[in-house]
Amino acid sequence: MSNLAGKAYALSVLSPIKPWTTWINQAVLLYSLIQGRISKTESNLKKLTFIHYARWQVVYRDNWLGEPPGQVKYNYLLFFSNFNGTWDQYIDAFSDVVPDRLNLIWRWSVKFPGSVPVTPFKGYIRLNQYDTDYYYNAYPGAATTDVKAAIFLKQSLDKFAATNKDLDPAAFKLAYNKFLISIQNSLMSTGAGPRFTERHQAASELKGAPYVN
Amino acid sequence: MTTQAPVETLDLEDIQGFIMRSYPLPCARYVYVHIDDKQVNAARSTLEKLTELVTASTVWPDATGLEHALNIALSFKGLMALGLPTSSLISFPSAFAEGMARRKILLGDEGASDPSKWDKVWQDSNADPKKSIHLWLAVFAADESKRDSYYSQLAKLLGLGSGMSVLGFEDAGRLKDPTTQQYVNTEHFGYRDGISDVEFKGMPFPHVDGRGKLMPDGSWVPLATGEFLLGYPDESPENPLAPIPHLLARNGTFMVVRKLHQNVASFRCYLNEQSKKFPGGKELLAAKFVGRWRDGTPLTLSPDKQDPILADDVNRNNSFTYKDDRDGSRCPMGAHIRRMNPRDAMLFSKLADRRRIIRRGLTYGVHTPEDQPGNDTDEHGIMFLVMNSNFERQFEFVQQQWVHYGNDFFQGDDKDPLLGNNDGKGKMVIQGDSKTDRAPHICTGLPSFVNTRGGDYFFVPSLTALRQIALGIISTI
Repeated sequence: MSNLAGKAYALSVLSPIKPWTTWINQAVLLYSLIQGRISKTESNLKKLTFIHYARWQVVYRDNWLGEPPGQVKYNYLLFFSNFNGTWDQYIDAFSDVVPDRLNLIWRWSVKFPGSVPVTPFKGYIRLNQYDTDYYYNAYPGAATTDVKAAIFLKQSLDKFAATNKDLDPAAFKLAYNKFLISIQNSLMSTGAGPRFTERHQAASELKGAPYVN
Repeated sequence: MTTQAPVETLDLEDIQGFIMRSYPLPCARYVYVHIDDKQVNAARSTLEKLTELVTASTVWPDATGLEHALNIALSFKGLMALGLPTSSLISFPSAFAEGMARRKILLGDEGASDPSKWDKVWQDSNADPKKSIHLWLAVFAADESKRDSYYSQLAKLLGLGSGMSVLGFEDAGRLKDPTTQQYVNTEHFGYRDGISDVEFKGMPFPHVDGRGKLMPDGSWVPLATGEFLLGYPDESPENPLAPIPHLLARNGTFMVVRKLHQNVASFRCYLNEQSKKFPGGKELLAAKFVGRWRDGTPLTLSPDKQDPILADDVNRNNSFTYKDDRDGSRCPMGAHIRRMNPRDAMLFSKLADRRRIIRRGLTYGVHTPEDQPGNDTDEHGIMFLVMNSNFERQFEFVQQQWVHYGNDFFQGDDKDPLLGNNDGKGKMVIQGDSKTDRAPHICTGLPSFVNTRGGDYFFVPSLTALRQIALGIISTI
């Protein structure tokens, strides 16, 4: 019943596309997919800690479940994303960092106002956003950055333990320091995180579970 | 690209002077005033008289010789008491209308910082409509006697028949050594404060690198005016959310008043104990908390020693990025200044540009010399003022996501070591250095060094808006 589960937010946006421009939108998505593999901006975007996942997908009007063919007027662009942090932070970041890319993807959607300035863009997302009915989060006390860090920490520790068994104390100390430096940015705490309402705190505490391995 | 309207010059005579920069005046008195809404005409006429005394930005760029100054702000309840029409009142942002106490979950004001533990004047303001703080007056002066004599003039204006009454006040000012009576130039924890200031378009000062926004070519340019003043394009670029009518908003800003109590003994004790385990020693540990040595030298520029010449050089002491310090080996990832203004720490400096705040603060209470343990109980701290055009996007975001959380900097739930509401369970990783094999150091058991003792959200109107409010001619029709 909420877009929030633990520290994650699920965003689903369905915006109508005119059927006769859908092929351009498809081509743009394909182009973006390729561009995303080579562009520095995209690779930096993936390093941002608060984006978990983002995907755009065209849903054709004849593929709607339960709707007879011919009933649905438009094709739709589905934007599905999971992120950590606030809705505003997420939309702000997209508008600030990749405005041209967003315009290229969404300009085929009916009445898209452009990704800059941000207020009309936010209005468009809100109007076309579908709230989440059911959302499950296995690690409510962790962001994906924390989960990735924990996996990295575990793997590094296992590797360190396996390869440094036979060192004398002085050599071990040196190796251990090097190991600590290699994992020093994977030592963040997990827990309830920022709250938006008093009930939000209670909910994330009930689900408990800061990430432990 | 963006099509921002150029802001060549601002109406300095219309903008309150303390928004631009801190006055070179070491003493302040912040006065909390209640308006009797049954005497609204008298209150408006008092406001008109006060407005004539307000210090505008025309004192800049060089305010030397200034002996005293006066600035004014109004709370949402204050605007109601002065009879603004509902159509205008409802156009103000909801965060402002709610006020600071009701934003406590977002701001981390819990435990010892909970509004139920604030100073009486702030608790009363929240609980008793007859004691609401409606008007905030700030008197700044060259010394205490000038402050007192200027204040006594004001107090006459606020006397019987003024439609206003003084609920209380708080004195603040630069700290002095108790024996020599010389200014010590630091706050209670021994850090030099007020080094970092923002630069926005139209400010009447020469450009300084490191204060505005970082461009892709590595240069620094002023931020958009609308990040700090209403009625101008912001970084989006669009005009920030502002009340109507336009003349009420234009050249005004929103201000956070926050009384931050400092637990001097807890801080000194923690620093002493923890530095026994920290190989770099006490001063380096103190520097790692903040990202600057206590004299203000940025760790990113000078990781091994204080550099007084660099610390004093306004053209260099803010001019740095984290490009060559991505892993935090110089300035830790979770250090105070890296959280308050991440510059390029998140790879895209644009992500920091819309979260900048103007910070004005003056210490209150008596300085405890460095060689003494101090105590937590005396009244000492910072009267912290923040100015921004959008509470939610700027101050509250920084407070919630960056001070009390740290995912954006790979810090998870670890909080700001100085400002975080840490409650004895706080942790900070001080990154080591792969070049020298210096191991990371983990500070655990961090207590709350700072507690909130009061505060609220205020609107700092332009002089035009103050006159309009005083004349009762605000209309949205």
